[in-house]
Amino acid sequence: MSQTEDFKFFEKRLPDFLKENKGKFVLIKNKQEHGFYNSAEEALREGYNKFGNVEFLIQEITDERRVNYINTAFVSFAA
Amino acid sequence: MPIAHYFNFNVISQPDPANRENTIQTFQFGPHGLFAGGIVMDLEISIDVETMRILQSTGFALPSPMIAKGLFDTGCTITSIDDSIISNLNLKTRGYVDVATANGQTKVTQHIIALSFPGTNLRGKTTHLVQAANLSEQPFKVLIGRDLMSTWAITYNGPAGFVSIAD
Repeated sequence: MSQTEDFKFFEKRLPDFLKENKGKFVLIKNKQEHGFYNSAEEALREGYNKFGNVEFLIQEITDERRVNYINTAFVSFAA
Repeated sequence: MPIAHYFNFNVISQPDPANRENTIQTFQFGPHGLFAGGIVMDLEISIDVETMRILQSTGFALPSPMIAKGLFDTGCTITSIDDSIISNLNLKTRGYVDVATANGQTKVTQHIIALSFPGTNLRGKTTHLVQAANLSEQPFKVLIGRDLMSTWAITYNGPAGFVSIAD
């Protein structure tokens, strides 16, 4: 199961997550949520406890369409 | 003149008169150095405390921390680190985020690191979420974003060529 698939799962489930867990961080692996946490640190700790040192996602639950800005003059992006 | 030429500075630490538990770090660049090179500081980047804990418990070797130059960038929402740091510290992808640039929008990976600021008394961050960037063409490998700046009181004195940071 790839992490991009897990991210697609997150995007699909975000409206549901927002109903009761807005502002928290969700732990996701294998297209399933594995708990909601108050901080990324807490979610990371639980991810390690549940899965060990493997890939899993931690995403913030927010209804802001948050876009991070970055100065293009500095950064190279693959075409 | 390469921008890195201007990345020389001295740091002075002194007590914060407004809060004796804090200190103020003053980075002295000189007026031209600050104008030409911007605000630059050294960062030590390592794996976060939770990752360190699990690597130690499973007998894996810990990657050595890396020292990198970071440029303050008020146009950068979240602190960004160069792909080479992600690779060298073997940081796992922990999330994705949309990034807007003048060339449009793209999606980048997010990672969790620990940060400290060598040569200063600024408090380190044991678990900090950052995003990936390709800074391979730049003399600095970190863009210090508003996420870090929001935890500090920063004074920019252009004519005198220094920047003070209190945390």
